[in-house]
Amino acid sequence: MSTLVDKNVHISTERARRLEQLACKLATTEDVLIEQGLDLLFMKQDCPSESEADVEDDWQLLARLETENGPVPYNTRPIHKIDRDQIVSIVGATLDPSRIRRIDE
Amino acid sequence: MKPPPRNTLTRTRADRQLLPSFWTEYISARTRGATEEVIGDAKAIFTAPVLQELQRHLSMEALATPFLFTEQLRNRVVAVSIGYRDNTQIVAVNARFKFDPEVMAHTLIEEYAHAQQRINGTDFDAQRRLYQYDDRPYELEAKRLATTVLGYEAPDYDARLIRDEHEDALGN
Repeated sequence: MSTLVDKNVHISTERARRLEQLACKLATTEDVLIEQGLDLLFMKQDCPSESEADVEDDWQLLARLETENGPVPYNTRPIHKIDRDQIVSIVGATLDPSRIRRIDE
Repeated sequence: MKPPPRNTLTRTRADRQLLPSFWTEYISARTRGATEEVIGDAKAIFTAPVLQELQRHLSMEALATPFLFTEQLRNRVVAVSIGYRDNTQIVAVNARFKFDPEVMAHTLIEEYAHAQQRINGTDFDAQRRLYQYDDRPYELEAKRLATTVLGYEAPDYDARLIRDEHEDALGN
């Protein structure tokens, strides 16, 4: 078992009240609840979110594709600045809003 | 909820339709961020058999329309065909999303069809005034061409938003 240390922290009156009530309701101590809360917080910090994992997957995919197909000459080719003042018409394929998901959903 | 977009061409119908080099460019743009550098024209997107089929329907001028990836498009568009006052055109693909390869293939053929329609003098504004999006003749024609060339209807996949829309985003 880990060594216990004393640590003074400042939390709001409301949180202190709810912590006390919850400990009472669950028949445990405030210390245990704080430990459990910290475990959750640490777990979240240690595990990347789905969106971070998704972005990481994309970087790995890109590395693999560049190995297979050659490196992309990224940011070395002429830039086409979309000049809004010169646009006569825009037509395009629309996306049904119900099909859009954020990568962390 | 529809199926999530697939990350590679492998085991999709877009394999052997989209060039692997194009798909690598797309993954680069959506991962690193789009720079709006011109990537090439239709020859830098489609494989030889698809290009050959496209040449039966579209002019060399339309297929020579350059394309790029951009961060500037609205969330509600996959890609657009832009016409300028000097009669030049560009196809711009939304790099802020993960799209399925089959959706990308369908969309890009539609954009090149729009490029041809613009060359032919199609009055997009007039059709917009008369019809809802799904009933506009120029849209129906573009989707029909994509279905004919690829051999499948536009598939139903979710699109995953990677980066938020700009405040002054472009769209049709």
